[in-house]
Amino acid sequence: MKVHYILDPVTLAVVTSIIFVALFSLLSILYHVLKNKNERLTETYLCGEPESVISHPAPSISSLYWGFMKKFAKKIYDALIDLVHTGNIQDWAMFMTSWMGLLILISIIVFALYIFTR
Amino acid sequence: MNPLDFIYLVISVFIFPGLIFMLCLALFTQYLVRKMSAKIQRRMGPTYVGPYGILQPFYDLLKLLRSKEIVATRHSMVKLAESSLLIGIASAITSIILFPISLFNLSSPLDYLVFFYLASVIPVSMLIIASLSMPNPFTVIGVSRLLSMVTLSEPTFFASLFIPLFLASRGDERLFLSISAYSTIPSLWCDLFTALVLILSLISAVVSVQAKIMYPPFNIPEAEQEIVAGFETEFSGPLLSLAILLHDIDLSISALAIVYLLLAGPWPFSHLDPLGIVVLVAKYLAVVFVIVLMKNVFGRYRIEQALYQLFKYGVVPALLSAILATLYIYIG
Repeated sequence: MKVHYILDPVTLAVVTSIIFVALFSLLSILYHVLKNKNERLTETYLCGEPESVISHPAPSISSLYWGFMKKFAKKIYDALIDLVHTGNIQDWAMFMTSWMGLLILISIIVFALYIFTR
Repeated sequence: MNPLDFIYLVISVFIFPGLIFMLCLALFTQYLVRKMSAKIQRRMGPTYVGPYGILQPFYDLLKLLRSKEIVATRHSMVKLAESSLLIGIASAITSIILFPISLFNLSSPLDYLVFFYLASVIPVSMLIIASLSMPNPFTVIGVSRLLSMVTLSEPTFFASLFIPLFLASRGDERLFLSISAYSTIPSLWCDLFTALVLILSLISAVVSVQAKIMYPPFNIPEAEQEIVAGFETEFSGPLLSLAILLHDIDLSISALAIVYLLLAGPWPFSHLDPLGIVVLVAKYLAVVFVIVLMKNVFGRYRIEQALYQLFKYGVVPALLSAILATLYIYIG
C-alpha cells in the first residue's frame, strides 16, 4: 500500500519544512543525549607552531572572494580589467552596450522562436 | 488526511525511507566505498566489526560520538557548528520524502526545486557555515576552494538532473518538473536523440557528484596533508562524526537522485515487485561503483585543474544536453 499526495508547490514547501523541523529536533535530541560532553580547549592547530605566529585566527572573509578570483576567475578578471576598467569611459560604454545588444538580440530570437513554434 | 495516512507519514519520515533507513544507507554506502577502494588498492578494508566488516562505519561513528571529545579553541563556535551540521543532515533526509521510494509520497509541480534545495544547496551551505564556525587558516583555505568548486558543481548537478526531468514532464502541467515524472524516463532512453541527451546528462551528473562529495580528483578543498584537512581541520570527536555523516548522506541522496532521474529507478519493474527492488539496488551499486572507481583511478587535481576539468567534463556536457533538450522540445 502506498499513499501519494499531489499538492501545490507552496503547500509542499510548508509540509517539507514541518518535516524538516521534526527531523532536526529529533536529531538534535539524539545527538545531545549520545555525544561525549567533554570539551578540551587548545590553541589553534598550526602544524606545531604557536598561535603567536599569526595575527588573526583566520584570514578575513574577503580572502574567500580573492581566493576564488585568483584561482578560478583570474582570466575573466584580467580580461575585464583590459576591456572595461581602462580609465576611459568609452571603453566601458562600448563593452556594456555590445553585451546588452547581444542579450537583447538573443531574447528577440528566442521570443520569435517561441511565438512561431508554440 | 486520515489517521492511516498519518501513520504512513510518520513511518516514512522516521523509519523508511526517512531517518533510520537513510542513516543505515549512508553508513552502508561508506562501507561500500571503503571496501571497494580497498579491493582496488589490494588492501583488506573494513573486516573485523560485523560480518565482512559491514558494521565498521557504524562503530567508527559511535566511537567518535561517544568516546572522543571535542577539541576546541577560544575562537571556536562549537554550538553553531553542531547546529549547522544537524540542519544539513535533517534537510538532506527530508528530501527523501519526495522520492517515489517513500511509502508516503508527496509531489507537486516544481517539486524538483524543493528537492534540490533540501538535498543539495542547504547541506553544502551548512557545511561551509560549520567549517567557518571553527576558524583556522587551513579551514579558510579549504572553504575558499570549496566555494570555488561549488560555483560549478552545484549548477552542473542541478542542470544534469533538471534536463531529463524537463523532458520527462513536458506536456503534463500537473506534474511539471515533478520527480514523479521519472516514470516516463524509460521512453526517453528508447529515443535515439533523447538518449543522447540523457547520456550527456549522466556524464555531467557523475562528474558533478564526484566534485560535490569531494572525492579524488576533486578533493582539493580537503587536500589531506597539503592543508592538513582543509575545511574540516578543526572538526573532532562528535563534530567530526556529524560532518562524516552529512557527507555520506549527501553521497547516498545524490546517487539515489541519479538512479531515479537518469536511470529510471526500478524500471522495467515496479517498486513493489521483488525484481524491481533488485534492479534498484543494482543501479545504486553501479552508480556507487563508478564513483569509487573514479576516486581510485585519479590523483588529486590542483584547484585550477579541478575547476577546468569540472568545466570540461561537467558543465560542457550539461550545456550541450540543455541545448539539445531545448531543440527537441521547441523545434523537434
